[in-house]
Amino acid sequence: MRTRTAMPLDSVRLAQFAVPFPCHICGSENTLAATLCQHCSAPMSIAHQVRETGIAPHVVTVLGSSGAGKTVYLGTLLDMLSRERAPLQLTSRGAYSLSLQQNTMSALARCEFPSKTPSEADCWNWAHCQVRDPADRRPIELLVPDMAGEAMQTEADHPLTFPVIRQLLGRSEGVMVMIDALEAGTGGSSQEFLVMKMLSYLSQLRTDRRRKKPDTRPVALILTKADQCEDCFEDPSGFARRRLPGLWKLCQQHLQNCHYFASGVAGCCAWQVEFGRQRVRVPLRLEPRGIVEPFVWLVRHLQK
Amino acid sequence: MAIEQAIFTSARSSRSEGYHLVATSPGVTPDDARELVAWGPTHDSLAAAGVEAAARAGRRPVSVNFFPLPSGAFCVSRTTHAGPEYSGRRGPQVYTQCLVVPADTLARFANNAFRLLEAATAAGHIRVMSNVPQRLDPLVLPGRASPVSLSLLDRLCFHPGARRLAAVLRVALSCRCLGIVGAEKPERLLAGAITLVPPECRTQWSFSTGLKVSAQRPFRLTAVDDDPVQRRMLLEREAASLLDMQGELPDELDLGEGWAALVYQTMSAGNLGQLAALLQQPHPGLQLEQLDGLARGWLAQARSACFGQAPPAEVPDSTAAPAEAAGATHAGPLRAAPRPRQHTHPAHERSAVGLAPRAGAAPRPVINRPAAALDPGCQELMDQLEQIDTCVLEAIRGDYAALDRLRGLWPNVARKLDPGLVQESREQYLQYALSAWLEESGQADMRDASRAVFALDVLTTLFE
Repeated sequence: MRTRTAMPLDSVRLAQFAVPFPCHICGSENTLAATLCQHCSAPMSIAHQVRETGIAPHVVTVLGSSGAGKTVYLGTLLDMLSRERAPLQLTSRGAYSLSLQQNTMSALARCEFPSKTPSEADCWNWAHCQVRDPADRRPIELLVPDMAGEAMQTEADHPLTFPVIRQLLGRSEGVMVMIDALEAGTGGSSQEFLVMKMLSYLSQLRTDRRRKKPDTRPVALILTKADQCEDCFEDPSGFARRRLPGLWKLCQQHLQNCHYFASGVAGCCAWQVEFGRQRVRVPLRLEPRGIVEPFVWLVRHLQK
Repeated sequence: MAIEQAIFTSARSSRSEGYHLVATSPGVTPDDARELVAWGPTHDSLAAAGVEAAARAGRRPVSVNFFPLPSGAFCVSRTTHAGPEYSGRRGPQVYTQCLVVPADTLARFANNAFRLLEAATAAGHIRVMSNVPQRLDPLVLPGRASPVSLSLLDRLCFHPGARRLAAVLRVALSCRCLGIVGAEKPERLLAGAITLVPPECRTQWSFSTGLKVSAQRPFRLTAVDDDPVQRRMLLEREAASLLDMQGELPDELDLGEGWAALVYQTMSAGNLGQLAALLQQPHPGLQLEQLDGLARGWLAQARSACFGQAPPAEVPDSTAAPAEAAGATHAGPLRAAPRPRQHTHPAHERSAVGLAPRAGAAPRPVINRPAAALDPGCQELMDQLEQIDTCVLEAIRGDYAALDRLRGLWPNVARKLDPGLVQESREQYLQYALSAWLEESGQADMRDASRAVFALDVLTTLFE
């Protein structure tokens, strides 16, 4: 006895790979199987999740010079928010979002700072997470890339060298600016200029239509390593006015919604010198201070 | 012309912090500087395999890199680990010295970045500076390098061997980006691959011998760690291929009929002089995409010229003892491999029948040699006809001396030959000239008119 059956051709299964899949960050077309965008190196998992959930995340960018403490701050923040007693509840979207937290916390647990973030965009860590505020029923989706300071500076100096940075800054709805309080306290001005360049570049990327209106994006200016500069904790705004006058003035003129914070992760640091090896700065203990507050402020201003 | 230079590493300078161009010489243009930063390797960018191998050998890991710059110059750079990271973070400082080499300076070194870097190292210009000055001086690098050296080819025959090199060439010429996994000595392998293409084509391959794969550094040839993430990152690039060099290559490796096959046949037969001569022939404007076509022409010519030398049915792997295994000795430059003198050799049958143009396929330049139609008893006449064959081939290729020899030989031989055979010879040579012209015109948008002029000169001589 013969029966007729319909068998799909294998080529039909392959056809889906021929359909271009747009990157969520830059919009350029990629294949369905791509893990990183071929144009901007952003993880394609973000685009897949956005397509599945139908919710586009708010992009929050973290600016700062190399060594300002972006990775340590973000990793510690994600770790603190993923615990039960945090003022905001954070849930990671996808395994790749946990890498930043894992790398940072495992390094700190070994009494080490996490290794330097490479400038290559395909090596960056991205945190895609859902944040739930007990004061607000609606959770919000956030996308926070941990970009390298050198790459940001290069992009500010030579636009389009790192297309992903331009795309991210253009889409940024909230900004965290990291400033090394220790260096600012000792009179160093190089990172002040760098941060000013980045903020200028950020405002330059706003479209002309939007440029007529004042920039109301929440900008949290976080003075990092404040544990080694105690007066910074007492009055972050006054510290910035005294030590970072150029940045202070720029923020006053161009940013309507900015606030100064002080934070510190390591309670105490020391230099470790291994015989025949390099001299490494190590945290002696963990004493996170002022980590969650800037983020809570930013998220609550994002929602408005 | 001076070679500008730049240092890309992690440091705190008056201009910036972290990885940036710490120092440049005055002639580096802003566009070139931007490109150097974009391609610059930063923290943990050296491939793990190279780092481990260097640690075992008690030396610093090194990657040699080459890519074009917007100004028309080329960057030849050397990346290594320097001292500790200035910021007190773990991991070594990645230090890259970039040479911005003008095209004509690179041409002096046969467009071979490895040769130029060797010369710069020998002159003491390549070194890791613990205190980098803000301004660097441009370099002046005297001297030159030959397009190919026989001793280098000999070493390449031994390691990595003809088969491996041909496999690299075969894949590299057919894709836009090639990653080589598990190469024992990636620097030597890539140096070999670069050496085995004509100098005109060498600048068309950007390469890195020991950097991790990154979308920011779209090298065409790169050594890749045996790591799933690195493999996947490379394969996600458009038209990328991965060649696994670990262990033995498969016996049924298909080298095609193009450049890779030519290299394999000449190297495995020990005809290194012939290969060197082929590589040294000038081909202005030659593109990598044209190499296969060029090689097919040469292979056809070689089959015709050798006239009886059959390709070895099974060529053993040359890594063992290439010349001895192939039963041949190293020939001098431009000297054909020893061949039997009988014209009824199977190779001739192949050239006449097996390589005849197929329906719909491009005609191949093959001479059905008039000498083949002679009675084997007419040895003197046959020798003269063979000389004419060679003269025609070389004269059409642009050899004036061969054309002069042909002008002297042809009238004497034509007088002694049967008129029917003379007519047939003329037809064969005409057909060959047309085929050579058609094949060349099918390979490039720009036709080389000089080839047509040479062919016309030859035909005029034959039909006078």
